[in-house]
Amino acid sequence: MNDHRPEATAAARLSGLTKRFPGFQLGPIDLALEPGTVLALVGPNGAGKTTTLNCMAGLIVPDEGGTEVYGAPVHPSRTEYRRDVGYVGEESGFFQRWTAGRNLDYLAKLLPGWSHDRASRLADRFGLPLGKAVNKLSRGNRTKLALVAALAHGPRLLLLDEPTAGLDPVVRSEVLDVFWEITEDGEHAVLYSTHVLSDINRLADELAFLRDGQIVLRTGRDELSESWRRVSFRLPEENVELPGVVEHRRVRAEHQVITQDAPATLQQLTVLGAEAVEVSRMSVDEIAVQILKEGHHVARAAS
Amino acid sequence: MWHALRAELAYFRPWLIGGMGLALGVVIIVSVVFFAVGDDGPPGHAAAGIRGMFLIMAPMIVGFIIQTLRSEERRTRLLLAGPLTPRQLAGVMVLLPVILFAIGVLAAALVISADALVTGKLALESLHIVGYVGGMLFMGTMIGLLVQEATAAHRQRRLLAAAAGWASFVVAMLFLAALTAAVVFLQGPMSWPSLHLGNLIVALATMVATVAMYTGRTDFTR
Repeated sequence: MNDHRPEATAAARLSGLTKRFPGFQLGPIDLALEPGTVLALVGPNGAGKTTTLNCMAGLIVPDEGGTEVYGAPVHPSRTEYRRDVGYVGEESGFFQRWTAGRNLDYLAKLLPGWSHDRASRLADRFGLPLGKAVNKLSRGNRTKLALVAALAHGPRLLLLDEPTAGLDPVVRSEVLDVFWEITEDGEHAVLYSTHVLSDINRLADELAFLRDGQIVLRTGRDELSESWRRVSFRLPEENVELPGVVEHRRVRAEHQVITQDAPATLQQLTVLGAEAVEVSRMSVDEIAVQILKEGHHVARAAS
Repeated sequence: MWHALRAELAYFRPWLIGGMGLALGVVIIVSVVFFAVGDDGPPGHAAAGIRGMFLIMAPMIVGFIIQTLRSEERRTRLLLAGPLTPRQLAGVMVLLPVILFAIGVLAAALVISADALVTGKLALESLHIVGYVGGMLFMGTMIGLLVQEATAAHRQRRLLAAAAGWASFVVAMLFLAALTAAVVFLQGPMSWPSLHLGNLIVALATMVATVAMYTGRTDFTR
């Protein structure tokens, strides 16, 4: 799916971004992320989420196309864009045997715009043990350290690469609370990659579904939960053509469908004289699973 | 770049101190053994050379450890968050072994000088032996970095760069083989200086090639 938006001040803009690996191609991806938006990049393992974020952070050079952050081109040889980017990935490159505090002190001298005040406020808020060596920190605390490091220089774009993957439920909830606090102020544009679908509901305003290196659907979270429904009805006909339907099952005389365009489906059912029509809402998780399962089929139906 | 370089040296200081301490221990043991065996031991210049070699080897071995640990800790990711360009990152990578080599040379020079003060003799031969072994280790470290970049280029499908890297490696090896053979056959007063110069040329050339190849990387995630 392509997303062409005219604004020049997009927090991030991916234009025809393409990266090829043996047996896998990411893109071409066109995507714009507006300031203040939290966009979840949702996809299964191997869909290309991390590669997309690495291209946006300037860690990988795309084969074709490119990325801009607040109008500045992203490339490892350029440095202008880096002031605006905070990146939290699985590997952050910290000095493992130094304490969290010493790592932050080091970054303070390295990163222009670093605010000691902001760093210590964030560390306090997250309850980060600054005196502990990084290799002795729990995974949750390492994520929090990466987050302090990513935020203390005041970036306007935050790239979060599966930050809750592998965390136990308690720490995950704690880390999500932290993300929630950060994104709540609306000052940061956030691109959040995840395959943990339950994270979506809490954080994202918008969702982009990535499958096999392609964005198959981009939509608003509310829009998604408003338009998708599970519908069951009775009709004597075996094959029924209904708009928006992405999955159709028939159990004896009862039809069970999943639709991504509930109003159109229901209207057609009224025309066809369907009986015992029952409509139920779907959770965002369920919808996401459906989209990732159906992939291009859903994208075609949506376009 | 200098800030990053200083930080790496500070971070790896315990390894360096440990390595040098170990080498110093070996030097003391060797000295005691040489003293005990007296005239039955190696000639004076060889004994001083052997002691110097340990001190020059220690920081270079620490250099190999540093390379591995930096790569394991994915330091590039941290540094690319800041204002460093790939060329500066490559600078940090090649200058670390240069500094370690300099520390080794200094330590070896101190031991040989002390030996010269005690014995009243400074055998040029011992300086050449130490210089040659140290030079080989330094050159080997630089070639290791070049090979690492050639492998990375191959992985990133930069086939021309990979081929250039491997070709540089082969040319360097052939050059050293030819130089060593020439020195062995045509022994003379310029033999040792030629070998030192050969090592230095290969080390500097591979340093430049490594920086060029690193700058052309398309993937900085590893």
